Amino acid sequence: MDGSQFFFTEKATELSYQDLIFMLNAAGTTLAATLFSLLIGTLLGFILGMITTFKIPVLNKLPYIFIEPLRNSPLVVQLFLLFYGLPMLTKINFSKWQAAFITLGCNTAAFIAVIVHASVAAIPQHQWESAYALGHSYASSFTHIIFGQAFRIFIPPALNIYISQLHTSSLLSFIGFMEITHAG
Amino acid sequence: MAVIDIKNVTKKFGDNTVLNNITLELNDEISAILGPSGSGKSTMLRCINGLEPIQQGDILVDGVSVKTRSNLRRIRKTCGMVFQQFNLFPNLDVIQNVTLSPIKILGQKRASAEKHAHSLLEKVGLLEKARHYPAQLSGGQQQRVAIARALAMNPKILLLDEVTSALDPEMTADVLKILESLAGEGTTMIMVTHEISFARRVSKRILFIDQGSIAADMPTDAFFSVDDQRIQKFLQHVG
Ligand SMILES: Nc1ncnc2c1ncn2[C@@H]1O[C@H](COP(=O)(O)OP(=O)(O)O)[C@@H](O)[C@H]1O
Ligand SMILES: [Mg+2]
Repeated sequence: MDGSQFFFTEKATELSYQDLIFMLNAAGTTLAATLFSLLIGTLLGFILGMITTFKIPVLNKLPYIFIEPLRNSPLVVQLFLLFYGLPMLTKINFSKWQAAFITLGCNTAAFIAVIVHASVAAIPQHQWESAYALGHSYASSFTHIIFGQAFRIFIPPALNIYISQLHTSSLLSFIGFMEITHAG
Repeated sequence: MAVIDIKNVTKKFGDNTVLNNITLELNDEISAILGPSGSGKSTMLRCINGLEPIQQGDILVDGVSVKTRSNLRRIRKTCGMVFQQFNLFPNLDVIQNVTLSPIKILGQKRASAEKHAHSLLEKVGLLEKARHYPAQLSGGQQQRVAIARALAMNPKILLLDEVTSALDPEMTADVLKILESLAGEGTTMIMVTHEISFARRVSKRILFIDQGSIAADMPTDAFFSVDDQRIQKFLQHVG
C-alpha cells in the first residue's frame, strides 16, 4: 500500500497540465468507444437472446455455440486469441483497439443474450396465451405485451454487465493494452 | 351451420388422453360445461381457440378449421376467452388493457377504441378505475376488466373458463351479475363453471364432461331432472 501510494504521488507531481488534458481526452475516447461496443454488443445480444427463446428445436440452441465460450473464458484470453490467434490462422489482422472493442462487444453480447433469455422466460406463459387468445401474433404479443414486462426484469442485471465491462475496458486502457501485448 | 363444430376430437398430452373422440355442435346460445376437476373442460375450451393443438378430428369455428395454423388468429377474433386467473397485462393500465388489441389487431382508431372501452367499463362497473393498474384492483375487479377486454374485440362467442373460481363469494356475485346481463343481451357464451345454480339459471344447454368424454348433453331443465348416477353424484358433490 505504502509503495504504490508513493509511486502514484511521485508520478502525479510530474504530470503537467497538458498531460492531464491528454489523459482525459484518451479516457474520453476510451469511454466513447466502450459505450459504442456495449451498444453493439447489446443489439447482437438481443438478437441472439431472442433466438434462444424461440420454440424452434436446434435453432434455439445454436446461439449457445457463440455464447458459452465467451461467457466462460476470461476476456483477456479472448482478446489475445483475436489479436494474435486470428492473424496466425487467417489473413484477418485487427489493430489492437479494433481487437479490444470487438472482444468487448462480443463478450457483452454473450452476457446480454443470456439475460434477454432469462427476462423473456420469466414472463408467465399465461401472458402469451392471453395475448394469443385476443388474436395477437407471436411478434405482436412480444412487442406489445411481453417486451415491456421483460424489459423491467432485464435492466438490473444488464446494468451490472455494463458496469463490469466499463471496469474492464478502463483497466485495459490504463495498463495499456499496448504494453501487455508488447505490440507498441 | 353450427358456430362451433367439434368432430371426433381426440386430445392427448403425451400418453394421457384428455379428450376422447368428442363430437358436438355448439350454437348461438348459452351452454354450460360441467364436470369434475381434471375431466378436460379447460382443455376443450383451449382446443376450440387453438391454444392447444388436437391430435385427431377437427374443430370448425364459424366454418374455419383450427388445424390450419394460419386460421388461428381469425378464430381467436371470433372467440373471446376469459381465464380463471384473469391474466390482465400488469404493465398496462385498465384502459390500455382493453384498447390495446382493438387498436393493434382490428386497426381501430385510438379515440373510437377508447370510446368503446369506456362503454364496456361502464357496463362492468369500473369506469372510475380506467387509469388504475391491475395490481391496484381486487380479483373481482380484474376479472371484470378481463371480460371488458375480451368484449372489446367484438367476439361472436365468449369462452369462459371458471371465471369465478378464484374469487370470494361477494366478487363472484358481481361477476355473475355481469355475465347474466350479457346473457340477457344475447351474447353467445360457452362457460365452464362450478356455479351450478348460475348455470341452471342462464344456460339453455348443459354439457357434462367426465374423463374426457361427453357424458351428458341436454337442455338445462332435463339435465337437472335426469336420473343418472354419475350426474346425481356430481351435483351433490359440488353443492
Ligand atoms: N399442459 C398440460 N400438460 C399435460 N397435461 C395437462 C396439461 N393441461 C391439462 N393436462 C391434463 O389434462 C387433464 C384435464 O385437464 P383440464 O382440462 O385442465 O381439466 P378441467 O379443466 O376439467 O379441470 C388433467 O388430467 C390434466 O392433468
Ligand atoms: Mg379447468
